[in-house]
Amino acid sequence: MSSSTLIIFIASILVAASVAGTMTNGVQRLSDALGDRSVDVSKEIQTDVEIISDAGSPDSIYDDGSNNLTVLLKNTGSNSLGADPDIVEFIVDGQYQTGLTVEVVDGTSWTPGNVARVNATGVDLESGDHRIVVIVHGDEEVLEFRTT
Amino acid sequence: MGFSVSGSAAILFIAAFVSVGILYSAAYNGYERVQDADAGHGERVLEQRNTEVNVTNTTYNSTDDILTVNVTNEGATSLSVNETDLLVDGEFYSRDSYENWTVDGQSNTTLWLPGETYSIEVNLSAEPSRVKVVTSTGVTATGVV
Repeated sequence: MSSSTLIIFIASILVAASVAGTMTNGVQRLSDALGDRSVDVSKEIQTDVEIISDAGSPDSIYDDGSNNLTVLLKNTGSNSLGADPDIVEFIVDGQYQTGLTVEVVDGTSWTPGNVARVNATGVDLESGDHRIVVIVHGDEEVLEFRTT
Repeated sequence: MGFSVSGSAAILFIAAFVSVGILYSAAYNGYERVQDADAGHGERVLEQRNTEVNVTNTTYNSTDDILTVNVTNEGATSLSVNETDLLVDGEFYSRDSYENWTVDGQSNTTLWLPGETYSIEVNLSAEPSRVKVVTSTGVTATGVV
């Protein structure tokens, strides 16, 4: 074997090895992302909440005196949710609400079947029709009610 | 020359095999995870569609301050008493605060089967105007006192 053939052989092996390394690296990264995404999607599918507040008794939803808005949320999905304001998005008449408190009213954790009370303070609502949108892990629920 | 081509081709082939192996297992695991969640969702929706409850009557006894709510399971699913909630005038009443509850006269059960009537008694100082019963599947029924 001549020295030039040896050089070409080593060079081709090096190029092939670097291409192989890049390829497996990329595939590895892609599969990690796929795994994470599937966890997120399955969590979204398993999450289901219902607003169970009675729109027929609006006084229990909105307290005019203290500007408190209270919504009862029941976990009707199949996985437990953290009773944490971070996972509950609360939008009142298109306004995003911060400073929520979430508290489970019939147990210690927000397992399937349990109800949590979501409280938003400092919401000033005029009398008339209002719309509350609650989003938990991509599950969107709407409550429409009227204040007097 | 011939040996360098076949050598590098072998390396690339092995890398391709490894990549396909990694990608396939990741994709299959993810697919299975989502498929499981979807099957569970389908079952929950079926259960919800098969659920129907109706508030048959609500009476308030002003001498004892007791509100009695009778709800009948008119659907085809077995419901759980533990996961059924009562709202009186929009206020949540936890099961610990019930004065008494029975399912077709029994209180040593947690099952609320189709056709059976779930009766709840709550102590209230004033007569309420509305009650709402929420089942475990999220199906609700409202009644006027």
